[in-house]
This record gives sequence, C-alpha cells and structure tokens, in this order.
Amino acid sequence: MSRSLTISAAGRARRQTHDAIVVGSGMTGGWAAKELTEKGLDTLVLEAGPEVVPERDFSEHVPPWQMPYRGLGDRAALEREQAIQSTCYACDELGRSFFVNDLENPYVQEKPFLWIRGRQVGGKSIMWARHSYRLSDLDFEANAREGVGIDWPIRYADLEPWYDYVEAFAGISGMAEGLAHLPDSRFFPPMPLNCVELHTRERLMQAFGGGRVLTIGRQAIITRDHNGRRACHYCGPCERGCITRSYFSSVNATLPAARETGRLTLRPGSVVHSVIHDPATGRATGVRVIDRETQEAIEFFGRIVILGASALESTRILLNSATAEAPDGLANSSGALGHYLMDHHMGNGAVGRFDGWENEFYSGRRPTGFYLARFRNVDERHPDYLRGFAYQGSAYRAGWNRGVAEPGFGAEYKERISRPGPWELSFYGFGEMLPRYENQVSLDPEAVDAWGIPVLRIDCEWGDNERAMMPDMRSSAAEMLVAAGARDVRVTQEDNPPGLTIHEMGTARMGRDPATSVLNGNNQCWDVPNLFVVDGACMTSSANQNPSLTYMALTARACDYAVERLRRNEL
Amino acid sequence: MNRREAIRQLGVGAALPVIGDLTFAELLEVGRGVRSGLGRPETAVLLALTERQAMTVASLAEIIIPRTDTPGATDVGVTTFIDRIVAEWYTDEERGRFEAGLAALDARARQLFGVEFLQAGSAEQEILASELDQELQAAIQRDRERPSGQGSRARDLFFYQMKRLTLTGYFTSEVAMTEVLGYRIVPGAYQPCIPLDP
Ligand SMILES: Cc1cc2nc3c(=O)[nH]c(=O)nc-3n(C[C@H](O)[C@H](O)[C@H](O)COP(=O)(O)OP(=O)(O)OC[C@H]3O[C@@H](n4cnc5c(N)ncnc54)[C@H](O)[C@@H]3O)c2cc1C
Repeated sequence: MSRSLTISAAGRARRQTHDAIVVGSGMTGGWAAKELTEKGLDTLVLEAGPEVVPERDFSEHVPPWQMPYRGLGDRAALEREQAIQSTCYACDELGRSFFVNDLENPYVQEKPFLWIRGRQVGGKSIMWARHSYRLSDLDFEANAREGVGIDWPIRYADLEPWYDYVEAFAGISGMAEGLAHLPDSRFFPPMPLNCVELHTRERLMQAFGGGRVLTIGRQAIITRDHNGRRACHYCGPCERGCITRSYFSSVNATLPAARETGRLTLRPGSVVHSVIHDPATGRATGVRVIDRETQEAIEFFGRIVILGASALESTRILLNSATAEAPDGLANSSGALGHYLMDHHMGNGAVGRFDGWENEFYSGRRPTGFYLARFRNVDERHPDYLRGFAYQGSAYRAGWNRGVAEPGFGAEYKERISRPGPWELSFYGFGEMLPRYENQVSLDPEAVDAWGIPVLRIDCEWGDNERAMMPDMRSSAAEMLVAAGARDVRVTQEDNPPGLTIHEMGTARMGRDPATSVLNGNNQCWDVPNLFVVDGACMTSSANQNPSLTYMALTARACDYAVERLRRNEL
Repeated sequence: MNRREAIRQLGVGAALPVIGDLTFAELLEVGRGVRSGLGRPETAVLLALTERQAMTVASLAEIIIPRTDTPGATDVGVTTFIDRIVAEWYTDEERGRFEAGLAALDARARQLFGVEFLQAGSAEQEILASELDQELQAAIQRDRERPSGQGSRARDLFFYQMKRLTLTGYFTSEVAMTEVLGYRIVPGAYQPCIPLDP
C-alpha cells in the first residue's frame, strides 16, 4: 500500500491539467515528449533531476590536465557518495555529475545487483554508449518457439516502420550487412574499421564461411550534419556530453524538437511519487510529485499518463500507486508487475596480440568499436543453451599506461612508451538473459529515499542458461582470435553481477493476455487504458542487442497509438 | 655554478645537473622557467610530503622520465601531482607504503653508498632505481604466473606506485599530451590506418 501523502494547500492551488503527462525525460521520456507535442498535445514532462545546460554541464572538451586528479577521479567522494555508481566506467572524475548520489537513492540488494542511474534532464541518454541495433523475429518469436515466458504481442513487422522512423531522426551510423537476424538500420555513413579490424573481419569471413560478421559498431552518432546537429568531430569522451549535439540524446535532439512546438512544459526537480487513479472510471487522472528542493507534495493532472522513468523506476511508481482496489500495485491484476527482471550478462571474451602493422596507426578518438553479430542458435541449435550473444570490441595499440609493467626507466624507456605499443584486439561479450519469475523487484516495507518514497528491493541473479553460455563466449572469442592470426590469446572473464550492463528491463512485460502481462502490444496497461509504460519495463524477452533503439521505436509507436485513441475518445 | 645560475641554465634547456642539490621550491621554479604560461600554475605548498620527500620524489621521477629533446617529469610538475595524490587520493595504507618506500630508499642508499638518496651521485641513484625496477619486474612476472584473483603483489611495491604516478602525472600534463603524444582536444576526423612515421 502506498503511504498517504499530504498535498499542501499551495500544491492544490497550483493544480494543473495537461493533455498528457510524461514521467521522465531520458531516452524514452524524451521521445514521448517529442511525439506527443508534435501531434498537438499540451504535454507536461516531469523529471526528478535537475535541468542540464549543455554550455555549463557538458565537459567532453576538458582535457585531463585541467582535472584536479587528472582523470583518476575524486576517489574519496566517489567512495562516499557513489560507491555503486562508480562501478560503471563512465562515472569518473567529471562524468560522475550525471550519475545519482547513492546516499540519496538507496535500494536493497537481496542479491548483488548494481543499479546504475542518471537523474537529470536527459537521464541516461547523456551517458549511454550509443550502440544501436534492431531486434528481429529471431528475438520476437523466441519465447513462443521455445516455450519460455510468454509470447511477445508484436513481431518485427510491427516495429520495422518505427525503427525506420526513429532512426531517420536520431541518426544511426553503420554499415549494411544484410543479416536477417540483425536487420540493417537506415544508416548514416559508417565510421571506419582500422587495419587490424579489417584484417580480422576478412579472416573471419573466410574461416567461418560468412557466419561470423564483424562490422563497425552501429552508433547513434551522426557522421554528417543533420537537423542542425553537427557531424562527430571524434573528441572521444561522449559520456560527458556533446556540445555539437552529434550523438543522440534527449538533451541533444528530442527535447529541443518538443520545445520547438511550443507545447512542452518541462518541470525538472519533480520526483513522481505515484499515479493518481480514479476507481470510478478506472482511469489515471494524474500523478503525485514531491518537489526535489522543497519536498512539497504537488498533484498534476492529465488525460493520459506515460511512464518513461526507466524500467525499474516506472515499476517502482506503479508499485507505490497501490490502492484499496489494487493492493499489489496499480495495473497489476496479473501479478506480473515487478517480475521477470532481466539484464544482459557481459564481460566474457578474449584478447590477443597481433604482430605486424608496426608502422600503422590511427588518429582521432573513434567513439565506437566493432560489433560481432550473434551467430549462436541462429541456424543451428546449440546443445548447451538457448539464445545467443554478440561481442563489442576493437583493435588498438596500447598507450603509455602499459609502461608501469614494462622494464626500465630513463631516456630510452621514455622514448619507447611514448610510442604506441603492439596491436591488440579484444572481444567483449554481451549475452541474452531469459525472463524468470524469481528475478523480481518489490517495495521495501520500511526504507525510503531522500524524498520519502519507498525504495526497491532487487532480487535477481543469473540463471542456468546464462551460466551455460558464458564459457562459450570465452572460447568462441579465443577461437576467432586464433583464426585471425593473433598470438598470446587470453580469455577474459569479469563475473559481473546483473545490473552493471545497464540494460535492466522487464518487470511490467507486454503480452497477449491480461492474466499474464501488465501491458498490451501498444505499451498500454491492460487495467488502466490511459496509462502507458514506454521504457524497458515492457520487454518480454531481452534479446542480446543493446536495447535503447528498440525502446525508442516502441515509445514512438505507443505515442502514435495513444494520440489516435485519445482523438477518438477511446481512452 | 651557484643555485640561481643552475636554475637559470635549466630554464634554457641545459643538461640536468644533480637535481638533489636544489630545494623543492627551486625545483618547481625549474619547471616554471621552462614552461611558463603552460598548464596549471604550480604551487610550492606541499600537501602530504615533506620537502625532503618531495625532492626524493622529484629526483626519482626525473630518473624515470628524464628531460631529453622533450620535457621531463620535473618540467611538467609531476611532483606536485604526486604530492596531491598521496595527500588526497591514496588510502592511509597506500600513503604509508609510499612513505615507507621513500625511507627504505634512503636506508638502501646509506647501506650501499654511505649517503642518503639525495646526496648520492646520479650514477648511484640510477643503480638504486635499477634495483627497485628489477624487483618490480620480478613481482610482475610472479603475478602473471599465479592464478588470478590471489591479490597482486607488484602493485604493493613502492616502485610500482612511483612509476604509475610518474607516468600518469607526466602523460596527462598539457605539455606531454600535446608535444609528446600529439594530442588534440578536437581531432576533427578519425583516420583508421595512417603511417606512424610518415
Ligand atoms: C554508461 C552507459 C552506457 C550505456 N550504453 C548503452 C548502449 O550502448 N546502447 C544502449 O542501447 N543502451 C545503453 N545504455 C542504456 C541506456 O542509457 C538506457 O537503456 C536508456 O537510457 C533507458 O531509457 P529510459 O528512458 O528508460 O531511462 P533513462 O534514460 O534513465 O531516463 C529516465 C528518466 O526518468 C527520470 N526519473 C526516474 N524516476 C523518476 C521519478 N520518480 N519521477 C520523475 N522522473 C523520474 C530520471 O531522472 C531520468 O531522467 C547505457 C547506459 C549507461 C549508463
């Protein structure tokens, strides 16, 4: 049950009604804001975190020598305030300003789970690594085919036009490969592979008869000017922002488009507590908000409510919106809310050295590496596990950092380590996780965050299928390195708990049956027709592709459906 | 050659004399003289190290990354960086190991050459650094041979700390990044395969 919340007189006096309320301004909330405003809706976006001003808050062009700790980070502050967040590589000396304060945003780990969050206008779309891949029917049909979980209510054909649509606006650079199970996007020109990557691509084509495709990472970064955004200039640390708006984020792309319509009201500092539900009509009427600064409780009203607060935060809001009629959480007549939490498991792979190309180098800091497309359980059936994995990686020459482990000192040593080291190439695996009922989140009966909102208890672990896949991710990577002619091949293994891949999803899954799912195929709550969940909470299975492009397409599609129904007065 | 003269000559790029003869403030002035107007202003206020320790650190850093046709560790203010890391970034345990390492270096110098590290000649100082580096390399080799996850030994050594901090302080300085590594904040393009030495 939700704690009762007293709405102040001032809060009531400021009572506002909008056509639509969007919760969250990150990857999915930004898309919802753009779509709804462009379709004519007066839209209020409620964002828990502060405003982000690119000229003030982006720091991608601050060089190491201007940082007090030269990029090593303020270790004491990180350990004190961001012990969980700083397990993510992007939460570094400057990047940490885009990650939450763990003391203000606690949660309970029933089992190890690293929950990495961004609470500001733009959410995690500011720090994301921009890898963008379509899902295919190999993914959408998998549950039904294998009898795992429930069937997706949609197929690739339902989403394909929406992938086209969001890609045309976001801008995805990449190389067409014609793979049925990893459909090509509408690409901007690809960033190039370097010589050792090209060599490896060709060797793998020969060795595996076209079954292992190494292609350039598909990135939501434009490689030519587009919609007032400038082509990438290869400065490197994208996770700290992008003043030329070259990569896609809410701050760089969707929110400016929404603002342009004149129908956007963005309210930063608005921590949504719960959805207001009218049992008489069965509809959501608005949301309750705690003001981030004043701690004042305020209500906002709208004809439709769209949750895009990130998978686990949206589910947390629904759980905290329980009423007498819906004691286990709003939109939870199925009992599926909070369950079937997934992430991708990452960090199994291999690395090897390449002799030769001694006088070959690269210049500029390419903000992506290569992608090696899934090859398991595509045509043949693997004996040990279901589904599959892909790799990200790159070929590079080691820099001065290797010098600590190299013998020597003095003039000759300085000269040696000032030059690039030998070529290495690494494969870093990302594997699919199956949906399981036991992997779940619930509200803690006592603990609250800095705004008095009950925190999540997260109870999640890898299952047998994931564990069975990991050794193959290592040995397959090693096998490819050997085929490409590497030496000193070493397998790598990180043993990360779930969460750290930051592809957390599920907990309010889509389905065909209201008895077993929270959302229908349009991201609409079965129980509350004018309430939508557009973020990763909706995912019925995880596939192995980085998921955000799919979230974007689903959000645009759900908004189109919602506006059409609203026009026809069917919500 | 008096101290002022030494500093002045250093500033115009003469070969480096025995750095141990200068005070820490003078050492900083060397860096400033060479690089005036570049990088963050150096301050002579030490946060963790004593003046003596700072001078030992400066000498060792310069032995690791000496001035050649490009600037050396002292030129770019590595000691100030190391002092800050030891003061604010290191744990108590790491700071203790670093300081003990400096003391052990003096003890070893006394044992071998009858003087403390700073008073030893540059050849003697290099012999001492050589010993430390050989111990470090042996520890790295042992780490490689042991199965992973058993707690690295090499990282616990003073010379590991010293080498890591020197390299970090040097290669993240404006001078080394721009002049030695050719770093540009905005490269403008990515060229995938270009000759290293045109
Ligand atoms: C370092 C890093 C690398 C990544 N790399 C990739 C990648 O390469 N490819 C990929 O596909 N994905 C990647 N991701 C994941 C990607 O960022 C997320 O999938 C995506 O941002 C999710 O979108 P979202 O809208 O659900 O959540 P977010 O983008 O996190 O936005 C949620 C917003 O809701 C707000 N909010 C939360 N709770 C409330 C509340 N109660 N009230 C009001 N507002 C609230 C938050 O403040 C936030 O602004 C990466 C993430 C990180 C951090």
